[in-house]
Amino acid sequence: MRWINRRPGRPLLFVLAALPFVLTLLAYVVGSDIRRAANPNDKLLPALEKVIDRAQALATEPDRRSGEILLWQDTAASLQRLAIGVTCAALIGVAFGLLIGLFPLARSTLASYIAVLSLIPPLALLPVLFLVFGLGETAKIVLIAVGITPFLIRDLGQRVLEIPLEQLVKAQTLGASSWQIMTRVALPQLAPRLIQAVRLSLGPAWLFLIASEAIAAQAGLGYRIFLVRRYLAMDIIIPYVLWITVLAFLIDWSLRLTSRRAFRWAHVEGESL
Amino acid sequence: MSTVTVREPGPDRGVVFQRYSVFPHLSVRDNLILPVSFRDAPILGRLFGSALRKAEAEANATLERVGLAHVADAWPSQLSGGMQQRLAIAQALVRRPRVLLLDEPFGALDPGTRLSMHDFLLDLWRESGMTIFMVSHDLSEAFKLGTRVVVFDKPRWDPQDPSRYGATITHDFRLGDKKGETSNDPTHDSDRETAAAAIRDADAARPGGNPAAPPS
Repeated sequence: MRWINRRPGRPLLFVLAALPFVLTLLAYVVGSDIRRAANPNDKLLPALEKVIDRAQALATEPDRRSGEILLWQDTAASLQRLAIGVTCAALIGVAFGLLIGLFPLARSTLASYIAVLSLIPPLALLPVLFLVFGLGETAKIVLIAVGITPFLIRDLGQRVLEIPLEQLVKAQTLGASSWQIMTRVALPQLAPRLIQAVRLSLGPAWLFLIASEAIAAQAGLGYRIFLVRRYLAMDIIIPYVLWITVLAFLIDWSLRLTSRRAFRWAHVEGESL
Repeated sequence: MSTVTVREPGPDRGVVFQRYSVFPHLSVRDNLILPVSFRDAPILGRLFGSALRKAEAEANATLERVGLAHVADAWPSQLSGGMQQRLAIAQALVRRPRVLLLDEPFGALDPGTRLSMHDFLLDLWRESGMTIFMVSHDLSEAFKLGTRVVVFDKPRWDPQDPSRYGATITHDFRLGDKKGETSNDPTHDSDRETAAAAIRDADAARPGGNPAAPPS
């Protein structure tokens, strides 16, 4: 049989999917052993047990100075910023996406302007945001929103444009006004696409969140990582990075599940990522 | 007949296309309620309470008539092509348009389904008596369904530049009233054959005729 026709069975599928993760872990353990053989107090690749112990302490024991459990405090701070930033960006993206996709006059006015805006590297604006909004929460939230909004507007505008012209003509022959077409034809069909677009923009959103926390914050996952970097505390950095990965995965997974539940019509045919 | 300048689609003209004629995010029943919502709920676009129940009852009655009552809660993508087109036609008629425009509505259907859709359309037309304007590439379909068949073709054809000359009306057949006819009635078959032969003859006789010309 040709290799392109060979498919793994259930047990093999599980093994193959787990393989890269296991290999990564193995590489870490071996590397850590080699380094600690040379220097038992190596800070770069601490022993796995030490990392696990530290992770447990971070998640359960209150900080000696503030009395707060750091991991949860940081998680709450970061997730709040992320949620507000992404929600604002999504609302703006839907509003402008509908305008650009449905109304030629709005499209002529805004499309090229937003194309230009989306070329500005958001991180280059970070100093401006800190100057304008101060070092508090606002600047961080605005950076996330500024960073992903142009993408969302362009993607959602494109999705609205992809609604078949036949549907729009049909809606008009059924007596729909522009407003009714927007709210009852375009918006409901945009909703599952919005979830898709948000899922795609969560990666950049995390990037902007951690970047802004790294520069000025009092709590937050990114803040903590950059703070303990000064002490070479890999036993804190590694659990934090893994935790961020888990959070990102959970958010992505719940968004996908939401889309399946709420917009079953969009998932009737075929599977999608 | 009145003279009106047409600028955009409106509820006096119903339309059904070959594809994408129903709304994929609404259930079959909601697809029939939507036109009523458009008329009665200008801001919200949604009906509530007794207005909704009345529209639902009307939609259910329509679904019963077009044979879709058993799939009222399904999404259009779960229906077969023929069922989707029946839904599309039923939806186009909710606002009682003066003219129904059909743009190759049966083009994507398999031959068997197409035949049953012909019966469906003829029955509907006899019931309502409205003007139906249908575009088709299928000569026999046109002659079977039409009371008048207008043939568009390109009278001049440049093989080096097929888009050089536009299409115009080349034939206009008045086939008479078929109100009493069933779809299988052979009464007009001879008419149709004469007409079809005339079209073929005209094609053959045309100087620089375009036997290989794409239908356009």
